[in-house]
Amino acid sequence: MGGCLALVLWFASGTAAEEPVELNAAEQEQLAERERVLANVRALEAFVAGGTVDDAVSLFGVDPADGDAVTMYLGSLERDLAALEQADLAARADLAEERGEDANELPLGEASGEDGAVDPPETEPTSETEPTSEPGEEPREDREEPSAGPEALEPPEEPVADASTDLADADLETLRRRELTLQLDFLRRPLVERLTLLGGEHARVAQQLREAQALRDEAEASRARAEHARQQALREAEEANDRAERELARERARIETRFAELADGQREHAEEQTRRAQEAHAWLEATRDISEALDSAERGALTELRADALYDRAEHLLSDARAAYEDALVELDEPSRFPPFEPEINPEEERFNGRQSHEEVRRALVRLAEKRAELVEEETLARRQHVQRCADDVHNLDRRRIDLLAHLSSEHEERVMGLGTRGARTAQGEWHQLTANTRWYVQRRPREAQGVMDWLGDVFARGSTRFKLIELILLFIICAFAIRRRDTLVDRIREQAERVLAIGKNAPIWVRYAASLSPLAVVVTIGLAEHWMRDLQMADELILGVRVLMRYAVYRLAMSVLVTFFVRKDVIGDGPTRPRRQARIAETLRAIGRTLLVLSVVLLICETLAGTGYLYSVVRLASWFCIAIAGWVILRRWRSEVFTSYLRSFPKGRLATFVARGRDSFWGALVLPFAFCLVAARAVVVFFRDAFMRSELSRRLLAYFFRRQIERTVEVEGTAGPTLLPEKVYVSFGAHELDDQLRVDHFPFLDETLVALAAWMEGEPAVARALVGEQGIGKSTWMAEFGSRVADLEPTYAVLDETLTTEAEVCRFISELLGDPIVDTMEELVANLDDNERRVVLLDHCQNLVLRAIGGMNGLNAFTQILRHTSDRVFWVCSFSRYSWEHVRYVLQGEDAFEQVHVMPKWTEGQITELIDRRIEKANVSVSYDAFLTTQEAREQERERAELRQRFFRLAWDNADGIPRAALRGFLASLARGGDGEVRVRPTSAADANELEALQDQGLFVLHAVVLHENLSLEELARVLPLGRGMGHSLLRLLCSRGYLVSHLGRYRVNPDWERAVVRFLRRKHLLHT
Amino acid sequence: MLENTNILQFVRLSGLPAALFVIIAIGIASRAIHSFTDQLGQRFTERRLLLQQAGTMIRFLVYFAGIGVAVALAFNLTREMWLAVGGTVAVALGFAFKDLAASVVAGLTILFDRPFQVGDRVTFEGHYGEITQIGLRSVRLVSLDDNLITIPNNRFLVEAVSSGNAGALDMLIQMDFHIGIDQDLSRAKEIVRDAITSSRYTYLGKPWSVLVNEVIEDGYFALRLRAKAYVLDVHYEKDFETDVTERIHGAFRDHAIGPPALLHRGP
Repeated sequence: MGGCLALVLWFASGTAAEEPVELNAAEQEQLAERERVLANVRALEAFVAGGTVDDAVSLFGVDPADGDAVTMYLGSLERDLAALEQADLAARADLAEERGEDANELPLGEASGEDGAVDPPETEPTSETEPTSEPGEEPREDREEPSAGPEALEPPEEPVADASTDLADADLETLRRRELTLQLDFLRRPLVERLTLLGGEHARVAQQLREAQALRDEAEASRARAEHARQQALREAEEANDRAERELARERARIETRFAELADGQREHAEEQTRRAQEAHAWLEATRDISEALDSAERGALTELRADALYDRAEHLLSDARAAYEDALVELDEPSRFPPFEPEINPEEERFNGRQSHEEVRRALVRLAEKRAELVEEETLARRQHVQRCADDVHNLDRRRIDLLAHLSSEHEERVMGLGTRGARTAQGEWHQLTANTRWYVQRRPREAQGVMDWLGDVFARGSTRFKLIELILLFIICAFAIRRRDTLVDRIREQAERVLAIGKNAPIWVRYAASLSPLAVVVTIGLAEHWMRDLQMADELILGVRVLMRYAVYRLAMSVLVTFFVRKDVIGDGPTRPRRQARIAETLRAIGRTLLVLSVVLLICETLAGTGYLYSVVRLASWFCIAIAGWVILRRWRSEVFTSYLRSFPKGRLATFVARGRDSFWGALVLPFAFCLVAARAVVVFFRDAFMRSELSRRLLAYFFRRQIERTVEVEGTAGPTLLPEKVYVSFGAHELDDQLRVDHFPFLDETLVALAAWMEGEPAVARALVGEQGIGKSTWMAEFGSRVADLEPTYAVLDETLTTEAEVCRFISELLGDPIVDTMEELVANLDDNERRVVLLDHCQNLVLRAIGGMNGLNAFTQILRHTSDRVFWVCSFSRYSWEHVRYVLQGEDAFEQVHVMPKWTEGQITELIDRRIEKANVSVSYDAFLTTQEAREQERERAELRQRFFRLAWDNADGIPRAALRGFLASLARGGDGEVRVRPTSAADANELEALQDQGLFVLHAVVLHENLSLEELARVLPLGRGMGHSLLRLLCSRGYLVSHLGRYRVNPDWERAVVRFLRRKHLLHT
Repeated sequence: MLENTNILQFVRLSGLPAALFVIIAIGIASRAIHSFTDQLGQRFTERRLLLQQAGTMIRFLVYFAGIGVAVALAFNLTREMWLAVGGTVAVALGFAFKDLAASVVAGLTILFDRPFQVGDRVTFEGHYGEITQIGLRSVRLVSLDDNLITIPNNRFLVEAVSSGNAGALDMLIQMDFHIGIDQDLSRAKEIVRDAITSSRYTYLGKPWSVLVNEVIEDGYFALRLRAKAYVLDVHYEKDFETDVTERIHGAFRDHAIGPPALLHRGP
């Protein structure tokens, strides 16, 4: 019947591609069963061929390591196999009857309708494969000599490959028969052999069982020998002629009796070892599902429900294991099962001398003592191994239990880690484990310490660890060397970094944090050492020591960085109290650091000793309390500063009221933490904001966004036309003689120049100085300030307002300037000057000595010659426009026209803000920025208004590129008359460089020439470009009509309103090089 | 017949219009990018070459990505088939369009090796001009007399090419002026210096030089003044030369500095 079904199934499967056959439920079930059996048979055959087994229970239907279960299961398997063979025989008989042949002549399997089907293996009963006839009896597992290894499992006689090929076509019965045969073949083998074949942990257990068996056999043999010797001694005692001889023989009999007792003890010990090996195996099996569950948890396959159940089971197992651990520790102190032998006679007495048995007794006593010592040592070793195994089992399972904690449901976790009975039980268990570990440690470590040198020798002998250890030693040598010579090394690293990273030697961040390099090197070294020590199987104490050291090194590094950071001027501010604040901050940081260091070390030790379970959580909680207390103490020390800072930062609000009232009261401590949190948050925000604003790029970015906002407003609302402002505004924003109210203290190089002047007055040679800067940067103001500082020397100040390009022109101008007779040659001029007194000459607009044309440098050349010849009589300070000076530098290519050149830096946003503020103050008007405030609420917010004002100043700074005159003009252009004598800032858009895109090349070059010379006449322009006068004139008119240029007394300049836009445009076109 | 069916089954008919659309879009995008970078380059002259180079890179990316998308749309290929067909097509096309394939590969090489860039003034096999486009197949060069010269990319792998500015906007210009051997050399040198440093087209960021040699020019002994200076934009190359030459000749005339001529020494 089955064969027919298989035939049908085979036919169905074979023709499925052409004619799909629909199977009913029973047929589908049968098909699935066949697939299962087929897979199992293939796995069994692979195992027989030397493969490994993942799941032995599912493969064999029973745990092969469980002797009792295997015995019971074997009977079931044999019955199944017999039933299958019966059915096959019956089928063959039917077939033979149909064919008229002898059923025995039919090949096996033909009854199933299958040609060439897989034959069952020839299972000739051998001494090893014979089944045990009595149920419940272990099949010779402890009587037979086990096989040596996996090769002991002989594969079936037919080639596996062939069988595998045929398996696919075999029917269910055949496959089932094959499966049963293979299972029986394996399960009938002795337990030790089965375990050996299964490999891994099973093999280890099998080895232990074999050793125990050998021990048992030896004990049996010893006992037999001892009994035989005792009988012999007793016989000799009976046959002895005198008393001494008899006593000696009896003593020998007693000694042999003790040998027999020792053999009994040895056998007991062997049985105990067997039991422990089986227990180890059982433990392995019992905890396997927990390990597998944790493995699956990594793939997210562990549910909370299952984790809860596994945790409970782990805890239960752990409870037993801890009890066993404690028992094992108790057993360590118990007396040996091999007590010492107390002889009844003293064989050294004279009366025994010369007796026949005298020497035998003495030798027997020595042998007995040796045997006992050997057994006691073996027993002690076994006990210690047992304790160690128990400790390992407890440790491993406890670790898994802790791992499971992360997967528990919240309710379960609360139960087991909470303060209830269950939690107390968890804590108690961990505490017992800790005490047991401590007891074991005390017993174990002194003994292990004796073998340190052996261990070291062994480490060096092992190839895998030798190099690691050498690396470690080298690392420590390098570290020691580096620490000794850290200053030199740090300097070298700095030099390299400066070279490679192009960091300036005095870059603030570099100088500031260079001191932290040394602790950083220590951290890196210890980190590397910790990493390398992982492979060396170092003692736990050493690893713990290195980890503690690592924490200390991190503490040192953190302290170094934090103290450096917090004592900075821009973090804690400046002032006379700064040193005291620095010291207090450093002290506070160290206190915090030490607290955290101690707590982290305590937690680390706790983790090492007890894992991260209940006790660890208790210690962690206690640590938080400690941190809170330490924080509280530190906050109390800073109470006054915190309250002051809070009230300064948040002067209004309910908390501010409490802070103000409580700062001198005992209950002020209650609001202290809240005030501190808010002050700290604000400090962080302010720090990052300042750091952001410190970058010029970020300030420009903000200015850009604000400009875009204004441009959008202008697009929507249009630009209001210029309105007439109060006269005092124009006056205050115009050009001024400096007074104290307007002076912004920004005169770079002034002190330096004054020192040089003082030296020159003392008789040292002077150097001609050039002051270079963009138009409006403040060169003239600088000269005015310099003049006022040296007013007692009556300096001569002059503006060169026309171009001088010949020697004669220059000489005439200087002669006139200095009040000397007018001369045309340099020699005459120098001769005249030599007769004069010493004087200081400030010459502004010296760019007019240069014309960018052929022969255009003659004026400057003559002037510099005059400077060189007169430097001992005249202290020259000359100003040049920046782009003109660039041209001079380009032409002279390294030749120094002036010995000292000062390039005026652009003004910062803060300086521009101060400049505008002073002008507004001078004008005595209030400026309203309300036009940019969108809501009424915002208008009422003082902070919003202040921020808006700052944004506007930033915009003015950005539009002016840091040029103060341009900033003042830009700000003035944005003002309109308001009500009640105030002025308001209106949305206006600055000149747009894009408008210049429409210019043709000629116009572009005219603009470039004017910017480069700062001012030009038509004739000069025609010479510079060169152009015809007509063309030049028309171009200048065009540019003037568009507002880019302005004309004054026949000289053309860039319109100040367009100046920055023109400069930006020319730079974009690659015409201006800076 | 069966084989034909098998091949055709990889063609996704419904994807063909979309693939066609993508190819057209590639063309339009390529032109748009070219035009956009050109305009941007004219506006921000200082960054013109950088922008053009970026445009070339983007166009290459567009080409390759677009072709990939078009193929993916037009053909229904599995990963294995991609590999197999890709390999087959590559080999077939490699043989059929060997030069074209070499040009494409050379184009990529030019992009990454950068012997020259778009906007550079290069000399190649007697042609001198500005590189206006580096394409998949060829490089376009506009000569100074405004001829468009197309050079297959693979030629650049085997022939030497010289780039005058190598990606910079400015370029060194060298000009020779000859004066008679008996003329005022220092004055002439000063005039040449002033002329090259004061020209409106001179770039001030890089140095200039004037070198003097004695040469025989058309059978006359002469002094050659070789002026070297950077023009601020390669577009002004010839304008710069013209401007400097005009000014120098004018100044020579004003200062009576004559050209090389036969010397008549007195007794």
